[in-house]
Amino acid sequence: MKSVQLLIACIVTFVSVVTLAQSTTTIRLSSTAPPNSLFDRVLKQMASEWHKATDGRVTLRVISGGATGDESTIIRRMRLNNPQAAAITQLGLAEIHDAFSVFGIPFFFESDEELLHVLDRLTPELTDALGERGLVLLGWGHTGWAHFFTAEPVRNLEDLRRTKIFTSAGDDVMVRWYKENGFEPVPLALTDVLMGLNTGLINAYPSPPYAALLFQWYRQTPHMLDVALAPVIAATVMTERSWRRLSENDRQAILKSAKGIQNQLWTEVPQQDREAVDAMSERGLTVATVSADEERAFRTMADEMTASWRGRIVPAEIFDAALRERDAFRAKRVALSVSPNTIPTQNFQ
Amino acid sequence: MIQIACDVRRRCFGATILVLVVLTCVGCSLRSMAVNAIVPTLADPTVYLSEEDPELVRESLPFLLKTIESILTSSPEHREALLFACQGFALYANAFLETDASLAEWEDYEIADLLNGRARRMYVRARDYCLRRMELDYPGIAKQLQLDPENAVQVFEHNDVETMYYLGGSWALAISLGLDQPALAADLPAVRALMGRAATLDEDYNRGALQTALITLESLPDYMGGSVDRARQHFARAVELSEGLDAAPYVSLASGVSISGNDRTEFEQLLNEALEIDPNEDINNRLLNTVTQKRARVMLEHIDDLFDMPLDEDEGSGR
Repeated sequence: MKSVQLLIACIVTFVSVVTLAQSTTTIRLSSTAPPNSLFDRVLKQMASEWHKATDGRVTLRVISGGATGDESTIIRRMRLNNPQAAAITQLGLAEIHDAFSVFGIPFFFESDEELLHVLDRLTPELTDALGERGLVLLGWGHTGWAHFFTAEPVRNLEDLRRTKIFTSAGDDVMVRWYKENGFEPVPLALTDVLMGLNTGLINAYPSPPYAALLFQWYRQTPHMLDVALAPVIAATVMTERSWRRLSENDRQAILKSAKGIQNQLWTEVPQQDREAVDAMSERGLTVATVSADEERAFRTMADEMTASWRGRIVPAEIFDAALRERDAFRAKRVALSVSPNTIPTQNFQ
Repeated sequence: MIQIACDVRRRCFGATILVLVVLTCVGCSLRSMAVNAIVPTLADPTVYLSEEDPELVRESLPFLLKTIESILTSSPEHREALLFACQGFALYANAFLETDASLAEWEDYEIADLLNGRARRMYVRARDYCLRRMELDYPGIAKQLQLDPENAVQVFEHNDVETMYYLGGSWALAISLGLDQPALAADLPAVRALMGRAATLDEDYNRGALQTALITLESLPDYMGGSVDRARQHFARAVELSEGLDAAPYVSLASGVSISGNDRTEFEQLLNEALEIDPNEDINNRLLNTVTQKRARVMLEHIDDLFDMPLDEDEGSGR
């Protein structure tokens, strides 16, 4: 009798495994990237790759342009496993876990190469942070480096203190930090930025060049400071519930594709930002470059001001780990005499 | 003797050159006359826009467009040919390539990407023909539209509205498919300025076609200068001017405003209204109505992909 039960159990298990391996799954991925933008195109390319690599078992449906809501809404919906995946930028990631705020520390990172190094070293902790919220990291993305765009020329932090800087409404911690350091933040909803610029309520804001061009905000702020404020990273994530339903082979195929996509973004997004600066410059933008000494002074002062982020905005252990890895990278770079602006050639591991 | 022979030969040679020049000029003039006679007959958009069989237009329009391009090679400043080239390439890209891409998008992203790429390049070609046409009357206008669009468009007059509409339309559609190209996306203010000025000059142009274009522009997010209220106003005016016989305003509002507002009920209602229109009631718009209805049907088929339940309801259902 026991052997019959065992046989039945084996058959049931076998059938289940075969069914799991052969069943098709449709994953809905939400993104706020505009349709036909670089990020959207790359996500759809990833969808085609998933389909091929899994022999049609996994279909990825990309819903772009915020059609399913803003990032806060997408994150809330993911708790209900609908959508099952999303491409989320730095803003949404910091909402999921404050560990991601480490990438928003003003003037903390100098280059893509440095960012990649720190991101690579912090990936285990960040993966765990996402896991605590029931999300699986598929790959990192990049949406460009935020720069300050201003109505009047700005060359240093003193000039910046004289501007009225847009900051996201509701981000009280950031508003307080700006004020403590002598800046004049103006909290506004994203939807009010254009109105704020047109009425003079704000005359400065941080943005990746491409976004400043696409939203046409640069027309009211024709000066860009050529010292990058912070990278705006992104991540492609899937809910654990959906992830668990995929076979191991399909998971590996998906991860491989996501890694390829992230390397592509790391190459194409900086190129797109360079093209955006060129296009804006042809239409009246002035880029304020600073000397190496000025930039060093700028960053030293910024480091002093952002030390207070430790334990307040960014968890202390993440802040420390990022600082340690960043400084180690810089020390190694100095030893090898590599320029900080070297185009990254390193891929994620 | 030798001198005389040389003189005679020189005179003969001069006379031959003169005859050739005269003949060439006559040839030029004859060819020019032929082109002037044939272009208005060939380049008549109503023949295509009123067609009941879209596939016939899909197969015949490319040949005509290449013929018009041949004419433009010999007569590069032919105004009617330039405008028709602009209209024709924009029509072909919109009615066939972009529509095919929007259908393929639900099945195969790679094919959709290829079709959208072709459509974008044809919109750019259409835009450039319209710009060439505008340059004939307003030298330097192409550059001015990029550098200072709001002031640049002030030179246009009522009789420029048709070219402005096709220029702005092809430019807008190229940008919408090329948001990954900063140099293209940077010219969105030129589109806004063109459409705004055209609406000031001829608000009811082509039974509300301009109003429909403005629905799409105003459907952009508010942080890009769009406005849902203004989109709805243009919708109401477009429906009024077309007497409810144009499917485009319904589909434009549904895809522009209803989706971003997550208003599934309105989306369904608008698309169903678009499908209820009989394309034969306005023959001049039969082709575009047929194609627009095709897109509306596909959007309705995929409505579950485009909309989520309201979050509260969703949470309550425990889905």
